[in-house]
Amino acid sequence: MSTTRDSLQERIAVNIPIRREKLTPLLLVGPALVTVFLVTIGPMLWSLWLSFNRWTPSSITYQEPTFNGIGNFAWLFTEGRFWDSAINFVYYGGVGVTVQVLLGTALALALYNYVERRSVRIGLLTLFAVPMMIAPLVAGRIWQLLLLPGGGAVNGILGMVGNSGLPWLQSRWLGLTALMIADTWQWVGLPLLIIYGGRASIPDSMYEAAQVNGASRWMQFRRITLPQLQTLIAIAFILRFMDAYKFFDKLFIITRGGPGTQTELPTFYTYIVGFSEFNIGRAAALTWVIGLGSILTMLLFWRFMNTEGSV
Amino acid sequence: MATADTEPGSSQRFEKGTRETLVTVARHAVLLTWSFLVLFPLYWLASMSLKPSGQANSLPPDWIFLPTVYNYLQLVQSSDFVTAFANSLLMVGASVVLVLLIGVPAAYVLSRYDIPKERDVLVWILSSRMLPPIAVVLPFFIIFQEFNLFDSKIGMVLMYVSINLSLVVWVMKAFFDGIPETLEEAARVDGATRFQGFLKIILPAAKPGIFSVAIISFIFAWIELLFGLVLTSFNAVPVTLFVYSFIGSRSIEWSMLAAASTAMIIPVAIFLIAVNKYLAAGLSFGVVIKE
Repeated sequence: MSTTRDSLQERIAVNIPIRREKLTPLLLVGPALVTVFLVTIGPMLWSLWLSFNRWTPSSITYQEPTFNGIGNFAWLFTEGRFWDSAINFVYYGGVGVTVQVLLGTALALALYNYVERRSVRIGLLTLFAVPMMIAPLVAGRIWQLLLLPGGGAVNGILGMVGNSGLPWLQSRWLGLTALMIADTWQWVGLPLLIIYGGRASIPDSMYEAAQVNGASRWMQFRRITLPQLQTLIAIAFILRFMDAYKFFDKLFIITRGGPGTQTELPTFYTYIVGFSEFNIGRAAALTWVIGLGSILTMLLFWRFMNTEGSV
Repeated sequence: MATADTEPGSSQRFEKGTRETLVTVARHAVLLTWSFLVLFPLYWLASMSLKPSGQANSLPPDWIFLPTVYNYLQLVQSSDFVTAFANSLLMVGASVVLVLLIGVPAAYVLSRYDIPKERDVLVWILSSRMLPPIAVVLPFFIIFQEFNLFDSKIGMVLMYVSINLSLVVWVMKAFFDGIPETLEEAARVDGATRFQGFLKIILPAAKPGIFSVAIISFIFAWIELLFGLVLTSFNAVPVTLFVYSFIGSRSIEWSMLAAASTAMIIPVAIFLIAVNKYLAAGLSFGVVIKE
């Protein structure tokens, strides 16, 4: 490593110009920016405009969207059902996503460090990723059946260890926990794959150097693995968190927001407002509140990561 | 690993040994437990797909039954399924290639160059993932009609790219950040352009990252439903739509649904197994440094 640096410095010292390209970065980053521009700006502006309008397209007296200022937002913030869904989200998103990312990281590192045989590794990695490939509605239905209070396999297993079983899906917090379990089962593979790839790209030489200096495995983990993977773990967290904001399909089939409206999450509530009550303006306002919440969480998390870490 | 042997003091070594054994057992326990938890619902799904339709959804389930491949035969014989499956493979495959071509270079630039307002650009890119799909699908419907992209494979490929682009850029930027810049500097000293350095040095080093985002992108596009539902009607129908067609308004054909869901796993699993060796092969640049 030292030799390359020296030679570069020598080169700078004797004024051999290093080729600079101004156009290359633009050409490389351009297509991505154009794509993002096309898929974000249009839909966003449209829904932003709608959020300041009253529009109920399916009502008997059809009206074009009419401007009603911040009416939709004012309605939203006084609506108890919205706040309930927000509180549900804090529980579901906060606990669920943390468990998913931590479990995914643990599985990835265990797989990489402790499974010697390649075929077993491939098999397990594939196995853990398979739930992601199942259509969410189908996955939801499987878990609904597994969690049924009478006859469901989960309570059957709990019964075997002497527990009388839990009334899954029949109360707010257990219902949300059930959603969490199903979602973790399906999506732990995402942090797993990202972290596994990250661990694989840490050069062995770093660990070898640490071993020469007599660092224990725990120290190697603290000083090499964790700092190297920190950013990726944060990204996995952010990605799953944004998906949690959009969580819909499994909720739709497992609890349908029930009992009553107790396990509704914000996106599900948006769906109710938009496509069951057909109040598109209000749904658009909800979407924006969710979107802003999502981006705010992300920024806070990102700032936290950057002040914590040395990356 | 031979660390323990070089340490002085045998009692300390012993303690370390037991502790490591305990940790190893614990780690394996995590893997074993999770394998079981993953396998059990999967077994249920697979067994459902091997039952005749009357028996598939009975509760408590019949654990012992006579398996039949009837459901799968029906699937393979249905030209709708075969077409949708082939459509999806083509569209999703193309979208993964495209999203890597667009996203990976962008991530490289964001990692290596001084971009003004870099963080804002990154957040903006991620914002394409922020709005729930249900909120953006309507404007896209209008745009697609306008540009003749409705029910076209190209349109769906673009949608899949848009779903995955932010993920690719963010994850790949983190991977590039982790690769020491000295590697490229060495190449540039030898007269390579920055782009050559990127192609020949950085890309191979970032292989595990590229393949893990490729797999994840493939999966996200493969199971996408909403855009397929709204933006296609006949020519570009993806396989998810066909799978959901077994969910009727009154009843659900569980055995067929399970069979189609199981069949959907196969290509992704094959893809994952095929690229698995690249997931672990990013170590080449470690060798470069050592030599």
